[in-house]
Amino acid sequence: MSNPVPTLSAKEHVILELLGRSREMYGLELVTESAGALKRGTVYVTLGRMEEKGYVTSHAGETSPAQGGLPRRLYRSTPYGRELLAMMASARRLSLRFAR
Amino acid sequence: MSGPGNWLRAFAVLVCRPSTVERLVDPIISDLRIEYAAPGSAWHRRAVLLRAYLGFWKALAVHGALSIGKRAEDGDQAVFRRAVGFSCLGFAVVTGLLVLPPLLEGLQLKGDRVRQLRFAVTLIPQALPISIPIGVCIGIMSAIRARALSRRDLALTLTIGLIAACLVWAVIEWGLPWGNQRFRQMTIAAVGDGRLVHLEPGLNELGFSGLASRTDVAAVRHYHLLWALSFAAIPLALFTLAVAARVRRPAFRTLLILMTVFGYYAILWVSDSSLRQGAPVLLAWVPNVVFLAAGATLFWRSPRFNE
Repeated sequence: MSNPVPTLSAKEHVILELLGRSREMYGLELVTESAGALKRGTVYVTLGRMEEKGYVTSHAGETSPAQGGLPRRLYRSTPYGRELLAMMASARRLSLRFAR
Repeated sequence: MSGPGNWLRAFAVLVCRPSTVERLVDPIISDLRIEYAAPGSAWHRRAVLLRAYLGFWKALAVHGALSIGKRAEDGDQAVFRRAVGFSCLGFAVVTGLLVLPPLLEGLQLKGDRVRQLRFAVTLIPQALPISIPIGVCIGIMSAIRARALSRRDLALTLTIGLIAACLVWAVIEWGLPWGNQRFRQMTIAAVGDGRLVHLEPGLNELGFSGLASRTDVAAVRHYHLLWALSFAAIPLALFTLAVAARVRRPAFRTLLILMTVFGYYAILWVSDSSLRQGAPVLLAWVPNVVFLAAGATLFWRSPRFNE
């Protein structure tokens, strides 16, 4: 049985936060902006899983001669992803308040 | 389409689904090409290539592992598929780790790279009798995750162990003698006039059939050690199954795989040292007997199994 409660891993959290600041970003840009929280070896795997869960959406960007015909993939957060991030943030605030 | 990463992409197209190539491989190669085309020194570009290649293989390994876990549903067939899938993945990674150091060392030497690559290929059979049982341990530890065991689990484990044992037996009989003999011949050819010469095979260049006809003490000891090693996958698989059913935490499970394998080879090393001092050849089977007894005891003492 699948888990009915959506969850966010630490990496997914970082990605959604970064995508919330900017309109669209590509994988390597996310790695650079995350200051070490994301690794280039796993960022596209995480983004793929997030896309399957509906947290982010992607499309192929424009190609330049330097890319040798391969487009970069641009990612943006979905309304569902943003809502989930906001929910997690408020849940965290609430738990901190109870902890005090 | 041209640029660095062409062969990586060609490999991915062969082994991956189109959606994986589109969403995982192409963005990585695209990043690689943009970084590579940016202004910088030759050393910077080499560093870019190295980082991107490592990132590519890591991404493919992580994606493969997650896909195996995801595709498998509950049920015996799914557990079997997951165990075999993770076994193959673990086997490939361990073989790579064992073969990579001599391969990289060979590639750093000046001279014909194709010849260095051939040297590395002759080393692969040496890695297989170790990497196959380790792969089985990884597969079973990944497929059985802290849950009740059944007789079907036992049958599945023994089947995988038996298949692995047959593979190791075949490698020891045919692959290992070929690899070791070829390696010796190529080494002598490299320091000599380049021609392959005939060499009388030593103990390490003989399989079971070659050793069976020998009567000297060293050959008999080696013969029994190889037989024991070829069956290592079965006791290791049973022991791993019994432990996997009791442990939930991934870090602890990984540690247990390492400890199991290390423990097995430590006992084998002690047995081998004892045999050199003239102890009975049956001592070669001590690691298998120890792990078989421990695995069987843990399995049958499992309260869930007895319910």
